Amino acid sequence: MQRHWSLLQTAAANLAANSRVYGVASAGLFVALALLLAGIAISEGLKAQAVDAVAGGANVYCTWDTFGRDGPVPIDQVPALQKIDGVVRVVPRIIGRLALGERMVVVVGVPFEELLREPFPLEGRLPSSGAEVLVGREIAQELGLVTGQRVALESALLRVFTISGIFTSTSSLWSARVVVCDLGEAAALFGEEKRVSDVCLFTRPGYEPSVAEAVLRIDPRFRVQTQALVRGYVLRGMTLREGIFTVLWAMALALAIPASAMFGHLGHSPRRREIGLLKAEGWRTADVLEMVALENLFVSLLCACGAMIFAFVWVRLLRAPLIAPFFIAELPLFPSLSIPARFLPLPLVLSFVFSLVVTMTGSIYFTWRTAITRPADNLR
Amino acid sequence: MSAPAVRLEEVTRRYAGAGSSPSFTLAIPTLVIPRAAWTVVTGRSGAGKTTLLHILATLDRPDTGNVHLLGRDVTRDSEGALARVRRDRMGIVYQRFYFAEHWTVWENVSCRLIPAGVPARIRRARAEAALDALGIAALADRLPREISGGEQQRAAVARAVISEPDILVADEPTSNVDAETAERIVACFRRLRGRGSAVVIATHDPALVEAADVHYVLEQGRLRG
Repeated sequence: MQRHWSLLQTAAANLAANSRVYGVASAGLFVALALLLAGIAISEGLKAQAVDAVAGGANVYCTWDTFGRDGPVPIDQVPALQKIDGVVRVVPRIIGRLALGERMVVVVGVPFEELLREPFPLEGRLPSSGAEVLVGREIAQELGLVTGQRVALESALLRVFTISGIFTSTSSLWSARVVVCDLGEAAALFGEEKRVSDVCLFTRPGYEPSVAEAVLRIDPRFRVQTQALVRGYVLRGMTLREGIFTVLWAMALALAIPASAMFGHLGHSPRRREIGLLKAEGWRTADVLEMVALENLFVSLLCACGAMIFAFVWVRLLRAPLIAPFFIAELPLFPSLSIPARFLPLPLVLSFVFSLVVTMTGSIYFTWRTAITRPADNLR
Repeated sequence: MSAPAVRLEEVTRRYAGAGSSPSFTLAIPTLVIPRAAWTVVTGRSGAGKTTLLHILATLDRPDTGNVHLLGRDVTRDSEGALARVRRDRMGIVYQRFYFAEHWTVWENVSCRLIPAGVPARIRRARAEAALDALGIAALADRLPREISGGEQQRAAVARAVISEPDILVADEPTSNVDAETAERIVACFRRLRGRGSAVVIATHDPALVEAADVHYVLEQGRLRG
């Protein structure tokens, strides 16, 4: 046991004494791991928010078949949906994009009474008339909006609203670019008095499938998506993006490993003599391999933990500049809103294992080859 | 009667010449290094002294012949077994010192004790004692590049004697030092011999030759005793 402890201490001392050499050699690995951990954290954060949003949303979403795609639902279909057995709430929505100053925002029009049903963090108060709107915290911060301020939403016509409240959503992306107004006002803004974007149906537990079938019996032109289906779409989309990111990351890594190996090679000659000396002084090959493996263990641990801290600062504190636009469309390279992210222990463990494999691959074979060479040859 | 420290039988070691340099062959019919004796090997540069010392110290293996250490034939021993012999029974002073550059002097001196599982505190104490015997205990925490050539030579000797080996093999141990330092090194070797160790030195230094109990001369890879 004392032998292992002595070798561990020696490995740590080697690392400290050669911090510059090890730092250069592991820089490529560190960058690759930081990129991977940041990407995974954003992807997991987005997934979690999307799943939360879906879980907190309606049980069934109805749209209208328009040339084989999802289109707006005639408003006169809403009463029939309310009568379906198992439906407890029907929420028609109008969703569209409009300009607010120089920013495009998503305008969501819902009946005001729906806002009162589910309390959410709000600075200010709920709208009391059609002339008032709620705005998301992220966009309010970005545009410097405050409650009581008047803002103009511009479509075919220009309408001026007063901000009654600023809301915070569990999804920073949701509150990032959303303005919530009364359904009637939204209809006027978009010139759609007789149609809504979709209709959300909230059902009693277990009624989701039967309600979906009942909707199609009312009119086969309805297109129906249950909560489970939407959740599946969302996760599949995220997974696809995650997969593309992983491929790009693997390509970056393919460049990082040879670079790392190249820098590592620069230290081979002194290392060869050092191993030769240790062997001459009575170290066995197993002793040398154990010391080098322990050095790699330290390097991997430092690389993985350092990359995790770097990724945390990059994503959480700096708002993921350069990497966030890959995951969230329309974001600038330097986003001003906080990026959803989840830092889980598993990617950290995988990063550690991965860096251990890379460093071991780069050094153990060389060490072994050197250690089995006659000491006289290494010292020559 | 106990076996000699080292006995070589019909040993040959050949090196192919690189480029235009000629090949070299060391051929030793018989060589005996007694215990508790001071054995000196002399010869011109290129005569094969270092090659012979490498074979005596198990750093190299002969192409043919047998090597007996302390009464045991180690010719076909594994590298691991030879490493253990070097660690526990042998001390080596290399021609070019060889230090791990990022280890301090005391860490270099005591490096053979690491895989033996000796705690750092004891390693340091033993290293300081060995360095003190050679008058450089104050340099224990310096890096090898921070001390002079003569001090490096003494540190290399301290490293070789730290475990009080049964066999000490030294290649030109006084070649880079002043007379006073050479005397300290010689005194250190004498103490070792007094305790029953075999001291084998390849040298050009007349003082070391004069002190020898056994003297071998190497000429172009052939021994003349």
